[in-house]
Amino acid sequence: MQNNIQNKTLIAVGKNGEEYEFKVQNSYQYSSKGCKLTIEMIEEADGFMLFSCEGVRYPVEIVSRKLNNYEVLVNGVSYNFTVETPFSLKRREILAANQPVSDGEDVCAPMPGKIVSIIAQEGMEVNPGDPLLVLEAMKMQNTLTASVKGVVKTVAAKAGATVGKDELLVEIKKA
Amino acid sequence: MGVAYEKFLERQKQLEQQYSAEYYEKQHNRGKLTARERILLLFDQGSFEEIDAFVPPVGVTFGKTTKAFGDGVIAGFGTIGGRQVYAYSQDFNVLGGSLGTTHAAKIVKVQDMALKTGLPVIGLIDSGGARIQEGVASLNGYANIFRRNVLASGVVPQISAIMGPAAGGAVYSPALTDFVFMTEGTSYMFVTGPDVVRQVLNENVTPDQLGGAKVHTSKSGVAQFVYSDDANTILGIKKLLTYLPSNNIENPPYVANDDPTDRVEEALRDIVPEDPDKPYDVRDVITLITDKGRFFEVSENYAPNIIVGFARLGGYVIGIIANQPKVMAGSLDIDSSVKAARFINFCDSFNIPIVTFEDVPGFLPGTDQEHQGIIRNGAKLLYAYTRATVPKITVVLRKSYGGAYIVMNSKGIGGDYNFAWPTAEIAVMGPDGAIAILFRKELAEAADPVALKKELVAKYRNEVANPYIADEKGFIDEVIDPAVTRAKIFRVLKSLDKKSVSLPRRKHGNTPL
Repeated sequence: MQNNIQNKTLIAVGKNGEEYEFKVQNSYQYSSKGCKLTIEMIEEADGFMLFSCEGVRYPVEIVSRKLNNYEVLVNGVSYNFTVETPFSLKRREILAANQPVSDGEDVCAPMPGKIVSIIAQEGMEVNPGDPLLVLEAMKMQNTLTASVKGVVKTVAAKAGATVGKDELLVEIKKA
Repeated sequence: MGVAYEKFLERQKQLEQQYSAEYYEKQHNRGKLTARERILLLFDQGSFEEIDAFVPPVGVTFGKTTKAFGDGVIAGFGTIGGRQVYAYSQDFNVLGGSLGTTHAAKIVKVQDMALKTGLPVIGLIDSGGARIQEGVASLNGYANIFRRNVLASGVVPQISAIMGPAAGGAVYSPALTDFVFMTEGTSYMFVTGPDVVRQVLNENVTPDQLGGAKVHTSKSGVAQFVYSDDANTILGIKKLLTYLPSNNIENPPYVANDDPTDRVEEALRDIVPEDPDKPYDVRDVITLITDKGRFFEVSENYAPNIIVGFARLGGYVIGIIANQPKVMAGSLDIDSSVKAARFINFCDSFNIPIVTFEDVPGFLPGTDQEHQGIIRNGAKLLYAYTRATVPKITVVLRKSYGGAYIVMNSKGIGGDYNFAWPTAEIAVMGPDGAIAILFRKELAEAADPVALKKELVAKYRNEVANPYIADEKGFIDEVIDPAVTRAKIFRVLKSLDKKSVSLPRRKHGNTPL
């Protein structure tokens, strides 16, 4: 049934929710928006990968691949996307409708320690992975980062202060 | 063929009619696949053989009943990646997947067959719990399942995937199995549901907040894997199976690949920072050493200060345990000790050699940890390492201090080969602590205590906290060039191929709990 790769419709969903639908006939024939595309991946002996689409070649690197989550580098530009089937896309919609929308993130201390420095400031815009502050614990400096995109609402932490486990340090409000 | 064959065909047709378009739609509208679709996705195409497809539920006199064939569970066997596996898949469309007497008997049958034939069992769970109408008989059904879970523990791998609700007693079957998968957004596990919590404790909580996939994979540690939907969860199960033997007598599957076992990785020389206070990601070390850089992590989001998972080295499966300096400095706390101990127990049961990458400043101090029992929980890790008889190899990357040195598979508790990188610091305690104790009087009397302390710390680091003392005493077998770690581990693994250990006879040890 679903193991059948022939004539499958797949949808690539980008980071900001943009959708690109394409059809797979077999391992080299694809179609998108009604246009047929011949695609080939060429792996050279040194591990270098070339992606050939309609005869035009692009250098490609698969940075990470975890199930249907991909991060690829094409011509030096990074693309982050998931590959969905029509059913898994529908499922995402059903779940999104049932889920309460979270309005931000509370960054708490993962372990007792001392605040070394604070990078986050109130009103600052942050992206996932941006450093917020540095916590020293077990004689090691740990950088705590944001996991959502948003605006820093409050900075409860003070530089030089000692904090306990799960103490609120920074509050982020989703933009 | 005459009437008899006609009757046979008619019966088959009736079963097919049970799986109507409406049947599929009901589950799809919940964002879930049906029990049947899951089974078909799990097994190699056309390989699944269903047993007891026609058994009816037992008659009840009280409440709603059903005439559905199979009593709400699809059970049988087939091949996954060419290997025989037993499985059952609960059907939420039949009385909410509730466990009736017949339903339970089918699961028990599969478990018995798997144990008899030495094959893994996979349970795809989507069930509201015990069937109230059938009363105590359905509870006894659970008891029978649990008993077989325990009997099969350490004999055949048992995998549970929660793909819908699992409430009440139903949660204990997954808890007894080796690995638990959950599907994001559509699976829940709890002993008492939100309604009871509200009535008894006046606490308002959604099923997802109480026992959703995120809670169980990051907070409670009940589940090891979470995937975005049913299809991906099943892919995850298949991937895990590629690392597991079918039973405790077999060795895990060897898969040849073209990654040379003597591959030299110069990048390994620069991963550990010069400054001992700076963290790094130990995953970078792991993926440079394993075959093709592949590493299948277990319990990724729970206790991330220790990393555990499966990989291959020269085609042979190994279990990896690594302290993660990036999180909580890689210190051992209650959660990380239990996580690693459970993983070691699994590897030891199923003949998977254990490779430990060590960079641990010690056990996490503090009232929080002490009061919750870091002593008895840390003992679990110590017990697990010591009891394991599979090949055990340690590579000390950097810090290896105090009690944590002993626990992390030191020579004394039974490490077969213990290597250290030149960056290793092996001592009773870190330089600051040691100097403060050894030179308390001198420091108190010194004109410039800060300068004196700095000088003594540097001296300690140079003379004591290095790998060479341990090397000279034989507690470390060899201090190695980080670049050749892969080749070193592979060679000793080969030499340990026929390792055999005999232990004193006993019913079972009294493991710390």
